[in-house]
Formats: sequence, structure tokens, C-alpha cells
Amino acid sequence: MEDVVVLDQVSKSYKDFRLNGVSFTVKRGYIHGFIGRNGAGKTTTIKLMMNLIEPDAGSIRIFGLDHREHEKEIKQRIGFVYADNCFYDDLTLEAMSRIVARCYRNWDERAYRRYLKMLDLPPKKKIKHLSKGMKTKYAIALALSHNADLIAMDEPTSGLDPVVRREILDVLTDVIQDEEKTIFFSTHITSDLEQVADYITFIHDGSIRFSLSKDEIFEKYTLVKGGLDLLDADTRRLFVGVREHSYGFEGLTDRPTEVRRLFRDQAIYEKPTLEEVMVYTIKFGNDAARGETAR
Amino acid sequence: MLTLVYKDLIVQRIVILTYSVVTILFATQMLSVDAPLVIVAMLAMAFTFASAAHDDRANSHLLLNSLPVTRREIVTAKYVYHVAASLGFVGMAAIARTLLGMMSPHAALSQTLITMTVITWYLAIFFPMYYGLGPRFVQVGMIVFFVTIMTIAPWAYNVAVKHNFWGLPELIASLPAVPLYLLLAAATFALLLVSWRVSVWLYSRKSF
Repeated sequence: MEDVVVLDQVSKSYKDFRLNGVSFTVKRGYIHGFIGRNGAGKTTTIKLMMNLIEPDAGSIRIFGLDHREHEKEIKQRIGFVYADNCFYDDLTLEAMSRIVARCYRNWDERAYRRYLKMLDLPPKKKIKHLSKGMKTKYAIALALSHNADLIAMDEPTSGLDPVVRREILDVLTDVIQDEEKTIFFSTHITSDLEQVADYITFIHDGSIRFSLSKDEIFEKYTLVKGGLDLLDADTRRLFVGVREHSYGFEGLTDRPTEVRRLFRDQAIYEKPTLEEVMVYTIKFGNDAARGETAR
Repeated sequence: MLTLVYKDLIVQRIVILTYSVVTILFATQMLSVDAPLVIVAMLAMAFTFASAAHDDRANSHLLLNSLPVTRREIVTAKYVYHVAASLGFVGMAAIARTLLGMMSPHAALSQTLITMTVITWYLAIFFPMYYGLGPRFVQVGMIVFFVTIMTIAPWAYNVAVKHNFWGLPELIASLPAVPLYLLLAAATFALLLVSWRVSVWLYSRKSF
């Protein structure tokens, strides 16, 4: 499988935040989700990929090319969608698309018209008169109308109602049927990715926690529920995060075989959701007890 | 690069139209002023501020830098657009005054060249400041610019008229015209080139 995006030890420091040696790859032909809480470094990473900010260290290669040296060529092949509207509010959809269309060699007017219709977007309406959901749908329509090989999206479903979110996910699932297309999609709404993503990269406090296929994640992690008597200093080390309450505990482990061997049928074992993986890692994280930081 | 110039034309077409109407009103003395071309030059300068403020408000840097264009092209397009727009305003005023018999074609041409030189110097200073200091420069600069043209500029102009521009017109008139214009054109071009290089360098270092 060809890597469309390769980030290798990319770092970027700000006064109050540091992206810490970020490395992961995005494979061709898949939907790759990028999860993490707000402020974890998702937008910074996407901006680095888009060359909107310069890394302090590390390298970024997109389509096998250096992202700075071959910026123009790379951006011809990327469709972008940002959380905030970056189009001119006073223009109509039609006028804005005329500007964007002139920038791309492979602009497909028929595809654009098709997406406008499919997403129920009125071409004569001014952008400022669109709702947040419609603005996002418009950005997606533009991103998909120039035969881009990579669609990079920063929180496209954030702040949208479930119907619009579903509509967007359906379009993305449709796009990915073409095995040449790749979608890189950051979000903190993990349920969206559970439906559509093939690969997930999890970032926390500027460091990558994991970058795995969805199947690998569910193989690796297990949610364990049991009585408090099962927990001691040694068994706690088997968990990524543990939440205790008056009638027992719930913990996320990345060592399910060992846990099952120790607890046997004294505990209940469940497949966690991505949200649980994220929450247990961040909120009930056990890094100090395990003597580790990022994996 | 031409796509970016086209983008500015489309995005700012209403502003361009408004400035064009005001330019014609001043140039044809429908709005009576002492030195119409000086006013038109100031309008062209104000247009640059208005345009930069519009770009910042629209968060357009994020969009432009995500499109398949280089930062050098973005900066170059801005220079081309503003020099062309200024030439449009000044040229429009000169043509209107010539057609109405308020100015000879020769005077119109020489005044257009002088006014454009002044505007170009202004642009050569404006853009590096804008790309270096960003939106804060636009906000503060706009206030300073308007206070200047409303208060200091009329006073300075009256003082200059009172002293016959300290003999500057006579001095210029006494110099050979062609070498003088060539020297002025070369200096303006060199200044613009340096300004453009500095702006490209500043803009390339920016984060969005």
C-alpha cells in the first residue's frame, strides 16, 4: 500500500504548546481519521501538511514529494476543508467557484454541479447567507470537484447537526469507492470515524498515541469491568486508564491477554468505542503508574 | 498569478466601482477641490488600506495559501493588482479632465506619470509594512492615514503652495526632461523591486 502522506519526526513549538516529533503515514485509498481533544494538535498538524506553518524540525512528504519544495504541484492534488469558513462571504457560491476553478488544472464543472445538487446548495446564494452546515458542504463540494487525490479535512463535522453530518459521511464514503482517493479527516467526534474510517491516528498533548487500522485498535484495546478487589498496584499497570466507582471499576487495557489470564471470568470484557479509547487515555490515563508517556 | 488578480477584481468589484465614481466626481470638479489629482492619488492610497482590511476580515490568507499558488505569486499579484487599480483611478481622472477640456493631453500624461510615481512609492512602503506587521498595521495605519489626509495633508499643501513649493517646480523645470523622467522611472522601478523582494521574504515566513 502506497503512503500518500508521510510525517517524520515533525515538531513545532509555540509559547504554550508543542507538537512533539509527530510521525505517522496516511495510506492511499482509505479514510484516515485523526482524533484528539480540542487543542491536542490536530489543526497544527493539518496546517503543517498544507504548508500554512513551517515545522521547526522533521520532514513531510506528500505523494512522495517534499511538501515545501513541491508545494504547488502537491496542492493541485489536494482538496481542503477547514472548520472555519475561509471563503469570501460577500460572493455567491457561483462567483467563488469561478475563482477556485481557475486555480486547478483538473477542475470538473460537471462534478461540481453534481455535488451542488447532491448537497442541496443554491449557487446564486451568497456565502454569508449559508448556515454553518451548508458552508461545510460547499467546501466539500469544491474540494471534490478538481479530481483531488487527497482530501484533507479539519473538523468538517464539528458543530453540525446529525443529519448534515450523516450526509457528509455518506459523500465521503461514496468518494472513497474510487481506490485512488484518500481522505484525511480530523475530528473530536469519534462516532463519525467509527462509521467510516479505516485508519485512526490519535494525538494527545502534541504527541501521537497511536496510528493504527481500526481493526488493530479494536484488537489491541479491551474494556474491562470488574470489582474493585481486582485492582492493586500490579494489575493497575495493565491498564491504559482506569475509572473507579462505588460498585467497581472500568478500565481500558492494551494488554488484554494478560488481563484475561489474571481476571478470568471475574471481569467482563467488551470491545471499546473510539470515544472510550480516547477518554480512558486522556481523562483516566495511567501513564504515571505504568512509567511511560507516549506510545 | 493572473487568477489571483482576477480574484481581487471579483471580490472587490463593488469597492472599485464606488472608488471609480468618487474619482470621477473629484476629477470633473463635481466635488470641488483645489488639486483633483492629489485627491485621486489619496483615494488610490486609501483603496489599498481598504483592500488589505477586507482581506484580513475575510481570513483570505488561509484560503489563498491552501490553493495551488505560491506565496511569491500571492505577493506579486497584490503588487500588480494595486499598481493596475491605481493606474486605473488616476488614468480615469486624467482622461475625464482631458475630455472636458480641463487639462491638455500633455499635462494629463505628465501629471498621470508623476501621480503614479508617488502612488508607487507609497505602495513600495505599504506592502512590506503590511506583510511584516499584519492586520495591526492596517488598523492603526488606516486611522493614521485618514487623520493625516484630513488634517496634516491640507495644512502641508497650503504651506507648500504659500511658499511656491520652495522653488521645486522651477528646479524640476530647469532640468532636462527626458533624463529626469528616466531617472525617476528607474528609481521607482528599483524601489518597487526591492519592496517586492522584501514582501515576498516576509510573507514566506508567515504562519496561518
